Amino acid sequence: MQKLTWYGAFPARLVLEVCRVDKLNRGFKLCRRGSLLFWDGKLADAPDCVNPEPLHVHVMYPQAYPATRPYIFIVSPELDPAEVGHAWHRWADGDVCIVEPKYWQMSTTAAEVIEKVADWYFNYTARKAGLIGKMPDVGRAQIKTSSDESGAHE
Amino acid sequence: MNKGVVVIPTDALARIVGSTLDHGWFSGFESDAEGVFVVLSTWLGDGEIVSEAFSRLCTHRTGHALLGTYKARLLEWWVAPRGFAERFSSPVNLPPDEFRSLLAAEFAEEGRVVAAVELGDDGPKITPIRVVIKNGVIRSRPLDVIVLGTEKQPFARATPRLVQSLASKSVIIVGLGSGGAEIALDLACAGVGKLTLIDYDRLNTENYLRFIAGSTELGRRKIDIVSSAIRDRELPTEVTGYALDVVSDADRFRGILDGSTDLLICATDSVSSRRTVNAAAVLLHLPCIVAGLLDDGRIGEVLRVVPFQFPCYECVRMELGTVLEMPASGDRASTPYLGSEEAALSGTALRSDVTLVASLTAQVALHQLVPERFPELPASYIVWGREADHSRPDPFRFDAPFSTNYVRIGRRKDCPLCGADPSDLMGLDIQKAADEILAGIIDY
Repeated sequence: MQKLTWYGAFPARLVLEVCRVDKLNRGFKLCRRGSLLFWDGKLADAPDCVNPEPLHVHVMYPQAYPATRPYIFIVSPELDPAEVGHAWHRWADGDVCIVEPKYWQMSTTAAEVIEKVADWYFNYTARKAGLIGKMPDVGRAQIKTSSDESGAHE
Repeated sequence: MNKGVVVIPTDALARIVGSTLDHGWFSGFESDAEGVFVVLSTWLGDGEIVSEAFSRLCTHRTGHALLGTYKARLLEWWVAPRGFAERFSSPVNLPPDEFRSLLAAEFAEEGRVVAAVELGDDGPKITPIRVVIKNGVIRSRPLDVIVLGTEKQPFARATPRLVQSLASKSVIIVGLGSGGAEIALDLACAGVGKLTLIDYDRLNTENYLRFIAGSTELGRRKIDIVSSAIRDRELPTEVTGYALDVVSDADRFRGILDGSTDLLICATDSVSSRRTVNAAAVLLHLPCIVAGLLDDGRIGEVLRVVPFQFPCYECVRMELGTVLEMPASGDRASTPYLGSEEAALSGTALRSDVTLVASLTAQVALHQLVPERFPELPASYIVWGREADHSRPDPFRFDAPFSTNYVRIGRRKDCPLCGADPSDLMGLDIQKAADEILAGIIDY
């Protein structure tokens, strides 16, 4: 049986994906395993006072892309397998949850997904460092700095 | 009312014409409880001649051990004098001697069925009769006869021109659940020449309620069951089945779609599969119909997508789904598009909801396949409501039960599938750029 990949059927989307990810300038590389494409890269977004190991991720395009969302696999560091569920914004298999599947917008590209993963890692490291009690559903947590604290008392 | 029926192929009867015998046997299935006799072969004294219609009748339910039984001596046939059929077409009581002067068969008090065969100029004519001896009189009661011709005639009651127009058409149906199976059968019965069925699911007990088949098909793939249902009706439709999931196996799914496809129909019950099928249709420029039920069957929708001409499923989702909000009550969503991604959208729909929307879908499919034979539909998106409902915004507002709303929605310029290209791509030779990207990819 013949196969036709999403990027074979939709070359304009492939070009758009690469164009948008390149514009991020985060050093992500497009890779291929079999017929599956994925972005390979590292993110080090974290609160100022935290210095975590960079997050090495693969942003994988599913066969049905862009009808279904990409999967975000964490290559390293090895996270606690118990840190899954809504509180950690991770699926049971460890895949990072960036959007509820029903809210997935077909116009969203991997560039936006990578930015959401960067936000996720920022929030994750903030929580692990005890800077926040709960990871926000959207965007980055507001971390109070020492200057914020002193300003608050004035 | 006649107490039974004999089903006999023409050739089984014609064997008698060339024989010098005056009696012999037909073999086949019998359901005594239902009074059905199905002839499979003719015994002519020196051997059995199996009917050419054997393959058409061997799966008859009277052959099932719980319903009937195979009998080598199913029905004794006797050559009868001319005029027998006319005289014995209604109940007749005769003294035994007079009866035996016409038909030399032996009868007992418990009665039996025999077949009188009259060899007239117009070919053999069979008159099956149930005969009983009672109070010294032979009582004959006729049975019905269904003579199975050598030519299959599935379209005997169809419109020949429509059948002819559809014979060259090829339709792919994704999702062979209750709705998709009905659509497939409807299109085959209308005369569609080629059907490609895609579904990985098998029939389970919970499907009996709405599916076209029940316990006799338990465990079979739905694509195979629908294929059997089409063959059972002796339809000429060429059926090919693929057991695959169009979402997880989207590459193979797209590989099935080719230029010979006239229409793609999506009758799945998950949002992700509908989006996947719609995307493939738009990208490969295939006309498509996305059909199904929403909100536990209260709403049916049939969307006819002609890529880059009519709005696609994604356009409709963007147009109608932008007000997605969680229902305050936790019961019903503000729009029927706010369902779970993977859970079945049809939920607890009635079988009548499913078949009604399936029939509507099949009709829309015929409009798409042979537009010259049907008036143009008022809009490409049809929404049907089982109940009057003013709680939702248009087009899901229905003034009366069983209302149909023809919804005029335009294509969205911002649709990621059929809208305008993003500004990032302006001036680029897309195919060349894509080829360069693929050539430079790192193999992992």
